[in-house]
Amino acid sequence: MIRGLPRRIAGLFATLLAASFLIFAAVYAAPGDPAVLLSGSRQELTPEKLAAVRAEHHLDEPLVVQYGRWLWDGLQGDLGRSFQYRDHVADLIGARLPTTLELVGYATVFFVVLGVGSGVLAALRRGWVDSAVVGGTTLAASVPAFVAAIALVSLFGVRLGWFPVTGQGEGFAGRLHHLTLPAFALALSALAVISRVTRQAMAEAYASDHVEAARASGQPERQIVVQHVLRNALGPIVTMCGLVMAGMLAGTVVVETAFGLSGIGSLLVSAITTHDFPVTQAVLLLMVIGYVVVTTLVDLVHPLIDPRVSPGGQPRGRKPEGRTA
Amino acid sequence: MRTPDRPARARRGGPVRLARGTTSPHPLGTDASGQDLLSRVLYGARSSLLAPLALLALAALLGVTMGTVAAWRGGWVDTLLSRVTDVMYAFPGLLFVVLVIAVFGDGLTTSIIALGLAYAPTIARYTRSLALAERSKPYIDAYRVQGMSGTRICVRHLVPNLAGPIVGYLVVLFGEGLMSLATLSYLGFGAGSPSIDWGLMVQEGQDAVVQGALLPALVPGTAIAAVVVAFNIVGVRVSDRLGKGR
Repeated sequence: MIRGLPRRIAGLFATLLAASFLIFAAVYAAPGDPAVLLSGSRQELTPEKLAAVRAEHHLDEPLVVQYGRWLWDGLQGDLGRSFQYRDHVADLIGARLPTTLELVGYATVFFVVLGVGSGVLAALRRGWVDSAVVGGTTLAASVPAFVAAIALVSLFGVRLGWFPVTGQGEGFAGRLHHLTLPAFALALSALAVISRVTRQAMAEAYASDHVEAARASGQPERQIVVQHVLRNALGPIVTMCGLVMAGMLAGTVVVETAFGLSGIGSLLVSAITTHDFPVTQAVLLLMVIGYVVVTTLVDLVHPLIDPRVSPGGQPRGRKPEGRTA
Repeated sequence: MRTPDRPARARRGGPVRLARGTTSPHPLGTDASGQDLLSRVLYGARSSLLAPLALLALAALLGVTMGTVAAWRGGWVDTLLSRVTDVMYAFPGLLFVVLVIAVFGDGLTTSIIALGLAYAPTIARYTRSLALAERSKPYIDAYRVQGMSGTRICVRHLVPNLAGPIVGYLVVLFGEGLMSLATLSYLGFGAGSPSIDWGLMVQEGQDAVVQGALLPALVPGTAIAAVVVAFNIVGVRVSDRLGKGR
């Protein structure tokens, strides 16, 4: 655990530096003057305005100096001002972050409970239950989140009227009620991945010799499943849950847009549509940091759950299935 | 292409209640502008299915080249590839593509190129592992002894021998590419308004859902899901067969 730690942390920072540089320097890859892109609106560009933009963003200095300034300010919470809202970017994100985190948290509860549950069920009850779970997860993995969102709204929102189709809700119960459909749409493909990983890990643990030995010694089946099969399958399951949860931050972009929720995912979409570059950069940076930090943490925790895995032995941040998540 | 009705033909009548349910001239109903949904879905298949092909062609070209060179040359090329892959993998989901679109503007072409760039490292990594195994086979040494250049061995012999598993992998990626492109169109970053695209159709039909007209959004949505399911099921079979056929 401790041995691989400094190397892992160094790798984390190297990746974050490279990714943040990419996000920052992307402005310069664009055709034309970066000042035009950074000024947001493409109309009413006077030379004075362009000069003001150049001065504000220090565009005359070398790229690396500008990057260092942007990063340093960003680390201190100053992410610039939005062109669209005329607000501090940090305030915009701060106001919307709770909704996104609630959505991801709620979706995580969904996919962990249902994914692990269905995976365990499929591994324990071979036959038609297994086939149904495998078929269901194939379907769930193939439906894009926005199609799932619309189908859920159509069925449970419009036809049955069980859930509200717009708005954020008041109070804890109200918010939970409003976020149920979005969270489920977000969790659907993750659920499929977790269910498959659980089923596979359980099947492998079942086939091992010590399970046979425990069974031969006459332990009750229930105890074998909990103490021997599930305990040994836990490592891959927990790792995959962590990786999938980290990837969900990006999934909120689609789901928040589909349900009209005002979180940082829908903020990113509107920032791109309105050419609000400081907001775009800040949200992307935040999502990348969240993703990389969580995947690294998951890798560090893995040996604690499964002592057979040597620390630092696993490759970092393998991408979970489904980029569209 | 034969469709029951012209896909872009709007019916006469006010905008009110144009999104009708199933009727005999319109077996799947019409959208909010009164356009026949079945025709539009059939027509939309063109761009919705061709665009992922273009994206995979680009990603395969870049990825196979990068992966082969990394496996053949090793050294700094190999290190560079793994660094590039690490940085790409720091962007979860479609975020790298979103960054490219934020800088270069939206549109179908930008989406295809950005997704091609995003998929290339994954294909490169896969090709690299295959090429490393293939490289150590005796026939490669035999060609080398004959004095054939490295480039020629790679292009004429090594890469063609890897074609089976790579194509199998691409078939599995097709479903994912289609979903990604549809998602981008849905978000308004992909195919623009006059073109007919499944993801865009879902977005255009979304407003009518709340008013009870479900078909305009559900029909193209189902088309996307059905094609992806088909490709995921067929893709796994194909990649198994092509992988074993070696």
